[in-house]
Amino acid sequence: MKRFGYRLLLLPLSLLAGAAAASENPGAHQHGHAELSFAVDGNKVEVMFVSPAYNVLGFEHEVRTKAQTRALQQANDWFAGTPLIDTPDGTCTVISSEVHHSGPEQEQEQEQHHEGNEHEHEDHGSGHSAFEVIQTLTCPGVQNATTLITPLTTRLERLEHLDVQWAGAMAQGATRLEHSEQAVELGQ
Amino acid sequence: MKTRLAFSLALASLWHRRRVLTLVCLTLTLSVSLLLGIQYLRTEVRQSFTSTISGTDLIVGARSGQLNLLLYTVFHIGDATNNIRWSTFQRLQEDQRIDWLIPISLGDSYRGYRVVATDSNFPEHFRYGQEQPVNLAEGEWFSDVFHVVLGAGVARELGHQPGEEVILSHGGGRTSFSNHEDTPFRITGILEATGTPVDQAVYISLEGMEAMHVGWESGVAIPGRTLTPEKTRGMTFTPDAITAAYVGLKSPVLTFQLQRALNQSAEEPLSAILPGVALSELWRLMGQFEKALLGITGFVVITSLVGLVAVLLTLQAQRAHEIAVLRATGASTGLVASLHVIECVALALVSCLLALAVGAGLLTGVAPWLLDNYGINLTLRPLNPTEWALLATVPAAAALVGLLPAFATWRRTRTQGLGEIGE
Repeated sequence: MKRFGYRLLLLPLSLLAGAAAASENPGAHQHGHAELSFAVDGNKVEVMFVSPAYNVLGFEHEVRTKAQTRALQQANDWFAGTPLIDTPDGTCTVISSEVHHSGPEQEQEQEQHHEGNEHEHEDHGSGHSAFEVIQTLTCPGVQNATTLITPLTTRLERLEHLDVQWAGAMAQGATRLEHSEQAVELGQ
Repeated sequence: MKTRLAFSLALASLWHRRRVLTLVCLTLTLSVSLLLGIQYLRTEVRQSFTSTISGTDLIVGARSGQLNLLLYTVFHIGDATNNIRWSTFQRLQEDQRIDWLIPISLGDSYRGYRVVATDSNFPEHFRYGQEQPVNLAEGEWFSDVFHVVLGAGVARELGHQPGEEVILSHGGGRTSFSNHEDTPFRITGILEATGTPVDQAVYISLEGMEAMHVGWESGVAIPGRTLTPEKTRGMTFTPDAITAAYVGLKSPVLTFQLQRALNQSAEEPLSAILPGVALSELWRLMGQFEKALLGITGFVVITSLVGLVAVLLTLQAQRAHEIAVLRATGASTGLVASLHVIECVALALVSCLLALAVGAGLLTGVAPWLLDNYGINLTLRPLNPTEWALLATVPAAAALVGLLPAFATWRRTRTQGLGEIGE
């Protein structure tokens, strides 16, 4: 009995533990849901945000109107200049930012450069597009922070929940924020 | 002066009805103990779970879900879906981002306890709790192919000592008919208790794991082809595959970068998980159960408070004479009504104090049993702010429910025409 203490408590969970997708499988794409990961080392923070383009732009097809072009440009500018995770005092600044928007619009753009290569991209024909943002931040005082703030859940109106995970000298952890919940409690 | 009078009257009244109220107080004490105990256990068990592994940045195994990988590598629950090639592990050893690696090979058992084959990096780098290393209580770590180190729980349960020989079994399961009888292992050390699954495992070297499987095919030993400890002298054993590896990085900033690279590995399908994140997910799933449990306990306390009010209201009829005397001697309606609130709060406070004493006593008595039987390490500690707040809600709720009999008394004394002068 003794050795099965943890097992008894965790057995039902082992049944819930599903298999992950193979590397060849396309990534999951769920509107309203996005993932934010950040790693902290001293004052330096590496951030990665992955989201369906629908959450950011409200559409996933190629850009068709001037308003959509403007929305895409605004999103790119915002991701390039806004720290996706910040201290409550707002001490974080963006050192570098890479914004990738993969999808129909890019495919069309790249097809013009690679004519005749119809199988260049995984997403061909799926109709989905996604944003991937990688930022390097400098955040004085972040190593002592117990709470961090993300502007994503208030900025992105269509984002229903954001899965957040973090790693650092302090600990690793994960939480899920609902729409308009901004605080990431690192102690949980 | 009036307040002092109210308190002294309330205490005298409580003392007068001490027999009935002792039972009410006992019920409330048990309810508060339950409420406080569940909250305390919630915090401590969570702490115990999340302390199972620390300092490890990633766990790498064959392609699998993160909970599955966490459960079989850390908690020794379930089995690996696949192994990872030794060549993949060697490639990881050459990765400049990686500081250290602990290989883990599972599959065999000793009387139901999991056998974990690893190397010298395990005692050097594995940490649990607040970066605590795994220390030996007796003896030394394995330095030979057929040396074994026992977890504290295994040694305690089976009564083993260093120097004894043990026969490991092929495969998992508590009872096995396939034993590695040709290759007995000698116990060289026993680990200190950690309160984690480390206590419930048996540790051998990767070479030992390979050596005892020489001459085994399809889970059966081929007579004459197995090795004996003497035959293995001078031989080297390299595994073809291992179950998983714990990874320590040079910088935590590299965690997600390496995780992504490993999850997209073209050479071999791998899963790299962050143990802290997987534990958080695990707790998020389990958290629903413990929240439900806390909710049920809250209702138990509410039921007890309702019982308290019922008793006080019942006793009101018997107190008509007492109240009449108080009113006749000049006590105001407010003062008479306030007696009920004071009595309720006083009973709740006594129950809270008793609950604290009961909780501390129970914990002191039960903690060693929990550690021995369930591997859950509970320690007696001061209450945290949440627990204090939870405790404070009991007298606060008692004050609120005390308003009911207080209001009833206030109304009755007024209708009796004994209202204050000038009213």
